[in-house]
Amino acid sequence: MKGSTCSCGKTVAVVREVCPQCGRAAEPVELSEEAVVLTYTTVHVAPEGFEAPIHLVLVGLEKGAKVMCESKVGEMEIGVKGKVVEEEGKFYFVS
Amino acid sequence: MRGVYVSDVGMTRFGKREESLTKLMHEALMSATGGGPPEGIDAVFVGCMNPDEFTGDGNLATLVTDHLGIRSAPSMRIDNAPASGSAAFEAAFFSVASGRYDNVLVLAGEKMSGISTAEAIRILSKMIDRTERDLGATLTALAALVARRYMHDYGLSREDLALVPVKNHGNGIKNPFAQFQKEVSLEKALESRMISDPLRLYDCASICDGAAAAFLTSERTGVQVTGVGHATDYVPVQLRDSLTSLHATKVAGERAYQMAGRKPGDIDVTEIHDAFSILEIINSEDLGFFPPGEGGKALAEGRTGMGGDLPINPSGGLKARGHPVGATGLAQVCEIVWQLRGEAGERQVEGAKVGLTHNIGGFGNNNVVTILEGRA
Repeated sequence: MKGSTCSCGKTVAVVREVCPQCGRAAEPVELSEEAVVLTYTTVHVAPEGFEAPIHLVLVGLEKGAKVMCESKVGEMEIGVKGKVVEEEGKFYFVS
Repeated sequence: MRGVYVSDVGMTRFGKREESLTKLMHEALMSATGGGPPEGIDAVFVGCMNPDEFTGDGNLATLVTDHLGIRSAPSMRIDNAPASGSAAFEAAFFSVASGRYDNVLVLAGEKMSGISTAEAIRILSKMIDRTERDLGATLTALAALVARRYMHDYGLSREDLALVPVKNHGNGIKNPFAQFQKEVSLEKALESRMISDPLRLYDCASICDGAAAAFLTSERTGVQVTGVGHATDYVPVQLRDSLTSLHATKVAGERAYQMAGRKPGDIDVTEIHDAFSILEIINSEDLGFFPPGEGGKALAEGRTGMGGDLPINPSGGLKARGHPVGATGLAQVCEIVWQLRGEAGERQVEGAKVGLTHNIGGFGNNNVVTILEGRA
């Protein structure tokens, strides 16, 4: 997974030229796809252009980075381990 | 900086209103002046999140001076997402504190019901980070992610979370300006429609219309603005360090307390941003009223109810008063001013001397805290 890291200690799971924590130039970093569920929800009232239900999950990666994904894992619980995969620019959480 | 005082406040009843945004602002102004014309105003600060898209009218700052007959006064609009009302109040405060102006008018409002709910949600969702929005995340979904983690970490039950809307609807019964003035039972809250698991309809504030007004002056009155704190945080939730606390609230609170020379224990009454039930509990911890994880317990014990040691949202909060986004922060100020003057009627917190408002912009990332004190 492509991310960005900074000498200030902040690592994020998005490519950012500028560190969002301190404003210095961020360095590109490759992050492991191994992930653990931090929290999740099922959206029952979907925004325009989407169909409910939408299973969203926020997962933790290495170095404190986090990323929001659509979940493809059936039984969901905080602490569940899995992987983040990218398909057509969208992140999915899979077991 | 010199002292800044509140002379008059007023607001419309919140809810689905037929009137235009400028008419609602006029009604709020008349409520503040007691019906008299606006006189001696050095400047106007208008808080509104998105009149262009919600109403189709732009250039609101001038539209307001035109429609309200306040010609020549400088006027500017502050957009700070749902914290626009408190940010306009903040800008007005500093304009008087600096000595530039002696008497300023703050107006805040939003007209959201003139378009479909789906369209209003689409506009509101623009404040969410694009990568999260592209997954189908709504503001309620972000609040649900926070709620789930909070319930996991601190053992808050679904029933205890529902005590937030139950309490606030109970308070709203006594507020003639509230959109909802009827009781909501725990059962009703728990059985309401699921929006984003675990949050249900009664965990979410409404989409509605309304406006508020406040006059700030350098002349001593019965209510002084003693502290203003404002802070930001990352837009994406995925960049945040904590999922159970809002950094922007903590920093804004610390800044306001420092400016006022106050501490959390000094606050007698507070209006805090309960756009989603979980936020009231988290805010009460981030503002230092209760230790992390204990806001829900304080609520369940009645400490934040009308008879408790720190009544939270005596107005009914965003939940029962309604949440016309740009108006909310200034409506909170109105309530605290009435409380400090002893003019809050049946919802009066006895002996309130120091009050605090807390208003969230974005999903918890541009927050404003204001401290007001009664000066006998």
